[in-house]
Amino acid sequence: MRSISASWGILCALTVLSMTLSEANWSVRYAAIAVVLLAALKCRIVMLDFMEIRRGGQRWRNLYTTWNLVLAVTLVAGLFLGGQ
Amino acid sequence: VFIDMVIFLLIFLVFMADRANRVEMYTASQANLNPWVGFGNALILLTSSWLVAAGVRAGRDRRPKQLRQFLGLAWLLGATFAINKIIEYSMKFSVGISPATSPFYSFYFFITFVHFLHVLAGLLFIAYCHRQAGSRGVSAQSIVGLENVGLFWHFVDILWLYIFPLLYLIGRVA
Repeated sequence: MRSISASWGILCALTVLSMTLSEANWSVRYAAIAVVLLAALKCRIVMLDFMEIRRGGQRWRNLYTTWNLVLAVTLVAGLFLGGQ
Repeated sequence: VFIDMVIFLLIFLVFMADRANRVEMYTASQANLNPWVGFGNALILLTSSWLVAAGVRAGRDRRPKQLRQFLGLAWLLGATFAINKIIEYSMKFSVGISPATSPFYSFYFFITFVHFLHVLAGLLFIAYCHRQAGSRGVSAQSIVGLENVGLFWHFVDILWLYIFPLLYLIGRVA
C-alpha cells in the first residue's frame, strides 16, 4: 500500500496532467475523455488511500467504487451525446 | 455522505444532459472561467485532504500535538479555498455574470455554491476536532468522530476533483 504522501504526490501530478491535456492541441473528444478519466482515477486514489475504503466493509467498498464508475461513465456518455 | 453521493450524481447527470443539447453555448460560457483558479483550488483541497488523512493517522497513534498541527493546516487550506471562491464569485458579479446569465452559469453557481456550503460545514467539523484534541486529547471515541470528519472532508475533495474538469476544463478542450 502506498503512503499517503506518495498518493498526494501522484494526485498533484495527475491534476497538472489534466491542465496540460486541456491546453494540448489534439483530438477534442479524446482530450475531454482523458480529462474525465483522470478525474475518475484521482477519485479512486482518494477513496483507496485517504478514505481507506479497503478497511471498510465490502458493501461500502462496492458502493464507492460503483458511484465513481457510474459518474465517470455518465460524464463520458454526456460528452459523446454532445457530439464531442 | 451517501445522500450527497446520490444528489451530486443526479446534478452531474442533469448538467451533462443539458450540456449535450447546447454544447456551443456551454463552451462559450466556459471560456469566461479562469481554469487556473480551479486548478489552484484543486491543489489546495488535495493538500488539505492529505493533511486530514495524516491527522487521522496521528490520532490513531495517540499523537494529539501532531493531530492539532495537521488539522490546523488543513483548516487553513480549506479556508483559503473558501476565500478564493468568494473572490471568484465577486469577480463574476462585477463583470455582470450571474446565475441568470446562461444555463451554464445557473449550473456553475448552483454546483459550486452547494460545494462551497459543504466546505464551510467541513471547516466547522475540522475546527471542532482540532479544539477537542486540544482540550481532551485523543480517545477511542474522538477517533471515530475524527474518522467520520475525515470521510466527509475527503468526499468534499472528491466532488471538486469532478467539478474542476467539468466546469473549467472540458469547455477549453472543446
